[in-house]
Amino acid sequence: MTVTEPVLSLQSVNLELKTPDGYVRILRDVTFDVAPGEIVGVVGESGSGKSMTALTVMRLLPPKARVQAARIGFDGDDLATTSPRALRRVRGKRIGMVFQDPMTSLDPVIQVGRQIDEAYRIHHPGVGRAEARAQTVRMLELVGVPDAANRARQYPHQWSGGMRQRAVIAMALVNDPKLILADEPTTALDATIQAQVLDALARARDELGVAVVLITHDLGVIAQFASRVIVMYAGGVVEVATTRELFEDSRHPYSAALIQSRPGAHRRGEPLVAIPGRPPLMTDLPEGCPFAPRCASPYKSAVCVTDRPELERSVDGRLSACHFRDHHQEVVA
Amino acid sequence: MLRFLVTRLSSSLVVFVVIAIGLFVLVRLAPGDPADALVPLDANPGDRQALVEQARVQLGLDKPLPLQFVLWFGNLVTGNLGFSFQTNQPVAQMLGDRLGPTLLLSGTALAVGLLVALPVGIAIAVRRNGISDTAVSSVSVIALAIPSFFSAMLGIWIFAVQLRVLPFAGMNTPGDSSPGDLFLHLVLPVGILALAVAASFIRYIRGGMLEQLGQDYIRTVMAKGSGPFRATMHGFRNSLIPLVTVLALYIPLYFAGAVVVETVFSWPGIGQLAINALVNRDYPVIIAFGLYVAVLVLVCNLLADVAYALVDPRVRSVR
Repeated sequence: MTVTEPVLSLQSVNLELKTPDGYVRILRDVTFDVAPGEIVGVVGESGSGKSMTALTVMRLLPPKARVQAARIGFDGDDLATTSPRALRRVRGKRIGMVFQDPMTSLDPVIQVGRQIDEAYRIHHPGVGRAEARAQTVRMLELVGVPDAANRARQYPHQWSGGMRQRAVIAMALVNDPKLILADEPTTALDATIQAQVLDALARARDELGVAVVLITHDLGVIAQFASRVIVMYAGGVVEVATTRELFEDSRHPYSAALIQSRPGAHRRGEPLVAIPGRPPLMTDLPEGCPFAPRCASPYKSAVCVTDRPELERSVDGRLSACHFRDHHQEVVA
Repeated sequence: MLRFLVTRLSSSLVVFVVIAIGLFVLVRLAPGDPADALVPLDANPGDRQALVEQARVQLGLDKPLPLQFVLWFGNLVTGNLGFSFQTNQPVAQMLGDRLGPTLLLSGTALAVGLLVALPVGIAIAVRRNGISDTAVSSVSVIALAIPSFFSAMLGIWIFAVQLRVLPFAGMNTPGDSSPGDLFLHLVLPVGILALAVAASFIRYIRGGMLEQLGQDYIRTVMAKGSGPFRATMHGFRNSLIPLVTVLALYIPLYFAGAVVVETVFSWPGIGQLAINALVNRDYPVIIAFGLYVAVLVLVCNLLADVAYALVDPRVRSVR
């Protein structure tokens, strides 16, 4: 096996956002790699920092956000030290982004095709309208928009939610990027449309070789589309594993609890399993493991409350931020 | 679009007729007798009663009210707005004479105010809560709070009395009808009016832009790799939708005559005409002024509806 250079490599990425009460740490030492052409899932509860991780890579953060990172390696550059001007040539060109709600992420008063043309022409200054439009139509066809040339002349309100999300994906793909950051791309869509939109994303990966970071809280989506999974909790990465490893032999009690609380995992007639309690406030993290108060692992012990476990390799090479990463984790009922 | 225009035009016509009837009735119901107002108070008391009756017949006020209305409305549709009780001049001509100066004054003021408000409003929205935003927002509140008669007199005192650089009354110096002279006469009244226009529109534009710049699609535009300017233009394009409404309300307001400023600067506009007519119970002129305002409002609403369709594709496809 040859070791390929990762297309995206986050090393100890920290983010602080300004709130009325001062700065709050949102991301804590987020570290993971994405290989070229792979689909990596990022899961976690709301507020775990999934979206903020993507926005930090793109530096599309609220004003006065503070980013501290050892490195945000992307395709040979370190985005942590790239100037805002140079970042503009990365955004939309080398990294495409797909947002959660396709009903609001397109400009309502501009034709859909024009918005995609714009994404192309920003990064190809000399190119004429016709050439940009040809590229737009190619991308719309790739993501499965029928009658793309005509539909490109329509406005967003004339498109359904699923079609709009395809348009946003086409927009993200139009400059042939190395990486797509998809932030809950199907959360706002109904279930039948979800699969179609994700298929479109997967097809783009197959045909263009683009890597995809698929942020979601839906483990079913992960199981179906992602080859590897990054599990986040309270602003940090708690486990990195292949999808198979995660589902069969998770090494963090939070991952195990997530898997067990999937609606598909419970038996008919029994109540759905939920993780007790709620995620800690980022302003008030416990001293030890942030998951300790909710942890239902049989290995849970005093060290969990006193020492914060870092994301480290287990004896057999698995990455987990649990003191008991050498053990298969299962939730005790 | 054509169908839409035809429906809107016909409903506007109905509204116009209803307003005409309403105006006619309201003015007749008002206390005071125009025939009495026409006869000098110092006339011989014995003769005075007869003179008043004579005036009443002359003015047609002795006929039954419905008949008066039919006669008046018949004249109205043929373009005859009647004759002023005061001056015996045709009302249409009086209105026409005043229209030009008002359109010139208010039109220029609206244009100047908007030209200032657009870039300033957008710029402070982009730098929200910065020093420029705080400064401009405070100044605009102050400008809005100062009544125009005060700012007008302050302007006269500074530029006409102390500095002696600008004229302060009328449209031109007697005997001089050059455009340059007209321009000098315009500066102060336009400046005072434009200040108020700019102050309120800066606030509307800032508010509208702030709302748009917080929308998701702006983040999408940024994610495409665009700079702040391009993102701002996307937001501006969207903020035009509510702005059209405000503009449609302001245009009739100003074109109906800026009464205070016209009075302070002796500007021969419609506002002054209306005030004189009201004071003297000059019914035909009052009614004609009311109809003029009604037409302005109806036309501006119609234009606003067309403008909505231009700036918002969602409105376009509903029709």
